[in-house]
Order: sequence, then C-alpha cells, then structure tokens
Amino acid sequence: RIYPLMRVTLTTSDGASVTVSRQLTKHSGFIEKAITDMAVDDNAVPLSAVAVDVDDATLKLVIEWLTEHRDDALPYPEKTDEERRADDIPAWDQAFVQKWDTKEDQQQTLYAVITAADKLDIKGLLDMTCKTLANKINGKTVEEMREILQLECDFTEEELAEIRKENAWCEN
Amino acid sequence: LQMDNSMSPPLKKRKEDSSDTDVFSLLPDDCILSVFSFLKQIDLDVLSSVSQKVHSLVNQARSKSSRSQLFHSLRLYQSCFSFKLTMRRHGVKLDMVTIDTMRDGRLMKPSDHIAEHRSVEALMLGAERPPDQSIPLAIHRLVFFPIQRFDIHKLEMINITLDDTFTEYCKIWTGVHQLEKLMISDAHGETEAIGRRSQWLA
Repeated sequence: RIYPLMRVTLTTSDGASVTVSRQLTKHSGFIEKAITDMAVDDNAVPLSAVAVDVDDATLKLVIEWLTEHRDDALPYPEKTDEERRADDIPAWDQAFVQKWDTKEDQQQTLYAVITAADKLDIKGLLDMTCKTLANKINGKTVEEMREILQLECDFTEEELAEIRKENAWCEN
Repeated sequence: LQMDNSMSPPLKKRKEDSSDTDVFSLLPDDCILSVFSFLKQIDLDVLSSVSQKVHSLVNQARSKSSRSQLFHSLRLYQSCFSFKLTMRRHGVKLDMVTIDTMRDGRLMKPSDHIAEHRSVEALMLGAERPPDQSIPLAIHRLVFFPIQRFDIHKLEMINITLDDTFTEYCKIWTGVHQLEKLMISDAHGETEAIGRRSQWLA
C-alpha cells in the first residue's frame, strides 16, 4: 500500500538531496525495494532516505518525467517481442526529450537518463528513452549510425567484408 | 617529412575525440540490447557493421527484434547431389523462394542442375546413392539467416542428419512454442525422426 503523503529524500551521487512524494517513487523498483528493505512503517516514519547512484541534473529530469507519469498504471505492462514498437512515444515524452536537443550534450543527457532509468528500475522511462535512441538510428546508413552513436569502426577490412557477406545473403 | 608532420596530428586528434565521446559503450549492455530490440532486422544488419562491440550485441538482440512476416515456413531438403532451401508464406503455395546449393554450400549454376539430372538418371539405372552428409557450415548460414529474420512457424528438414549445435540453434531462433509444425527426417528413418522431434519439443 502506498501512502501518497509520504516523502522520500533521495541523495544523489554528487551529494545533492531531493525530497519527493512516495507517489512518484512508487514507479521506481529500486527505490521501492530500498524503502522496503529499510522495513520502515509508512505511517510512523514519513521521511526515508535513499542513496541513488545518479547525479543531481539527471535525477531532476527523472523526477520531471515521474511527475508527469505519476498516475500511470502499475505494474508497467510487459509487451511481447511482437508488440514492441518504437513509434508510440506519447507527445509529452517526445517534447520532454526534444528539450535536451537544444543542449550541446544532448546524446550524453539521453545516455545519462537511460542509465538512471535502468539503475532506478523505472521501466516506463527506460522504454521511452530506449525507443528515442532507436528512432535516431532507425533507417540510417552505417556511417550515419557511427556518427549518431559516436563510435569509431574498429573492424579490419577483412572482418567488414565478412559481415557484409553474411548480411547480403539474399542479395548475392 | 614536412608532409608527415602536417598529416599526423589530425589523425591523432580524431582518435582522442572519439575516445572522449564514446559514452555509448559505457551504457549497460542490457540497455543497449533494449535499444536494439526496437529496431527492425534490416537495421540490425546495418548496425552490425558499426563496431565490434555493437556487432556482438546485435547478434544477442536479434531474437528480441520483430521479424519479417514475408515467410512463415522453411524446408531444407538434401538430395543425393544438392541442398534445396524453400521458403513460403502461410497458405500461399506459389509465393515462394527456392535456393539450390551444391553439397558444399556453393550456389548451383545451370551446369550443376544438368549434372544433378544426370546423377538422378544414373541412380534410376542402379547407381549407388551417396550417403547423406552432415550439414556444412555454408548451409548452416543459409538456414540461420532466414530463421533469424523471418517469422518461421513451420520448419521441415528432409534427409538431414542433425548435429546438436544446429538443432540447438534452430530451437532458440524459431522459438519452439511458436512452431506449428516441425518435421525432421534423416536417412535412418522415421523412428529417429520421432525421437529427435520429441527431444526437441521437450
């Protein structure tokens, strides 16, 4: 049972503290488990402290997303492999991610939020950010994908030729 | 010498830049796999050439990625001369792709087809049938490619001597629970085929 008035103080990896409603943290499997492991009585102890391995700036973005999604149904619906699609990101989430695109380090922000969602076990946020990154590389060429992911080719020419041969099965 | 000096710094700089910004590789593998699971098989093909790490993760992500509905059944048949791979859609007998290869996996040329007809003719005149052979690596690849990329529900293997690696791979990629039909037979007859099937489906 969740007590919406209960507050949880989250201490970030860079030492900042943020206090949020339990109504938000209920979406995080990690925080919920931490509170449960503390074996605190929700009524008797209205404030619990949980250390999260996420920096302050990223946690603020996570909390902004959680605030918007505070009323989402739990547990997060599991989808089969066939039902998984990347083109169903809600409009608010799309706008939320596009705000980062104005920043110089947009990709780093996206990676930071993906990692935070994974660590905090927030399935909805993890799904949304993974879809966003998938949409960025969807339909692109190898060179464009390398540029987006900021990766350098570390294959030899022979290895690349072998991969092309495997993937061109139905073209040769 | 002057040319060498002028050319080397940009290359070095490019390397430093890339290592500074390669934050993608710092993402947990589970997260990368989750990203890749939203891509189509055709994008995974392109992605596999990006880098070595991405290549190894793409192979893990393929089973999660949605598969094309272009073909639903796959049949591999070994004759005394060749392998024949046929892929079909559900209920559409004419809409199919057939690939003929030699026993070493090489695609058959017109002259090979003629030679095959000659060997069949010789068999009918009493020549001894060559023994079935285990599946060569080239045929493994020929089968794995469609199994990974198409939503195969029916898998038939005729006159195929199965090896455990091949069986395990097909089992993982086709998803046994989705199989509507699995038919395997080898040169030793139905008994072993039933045993193999039971073992697989178990």
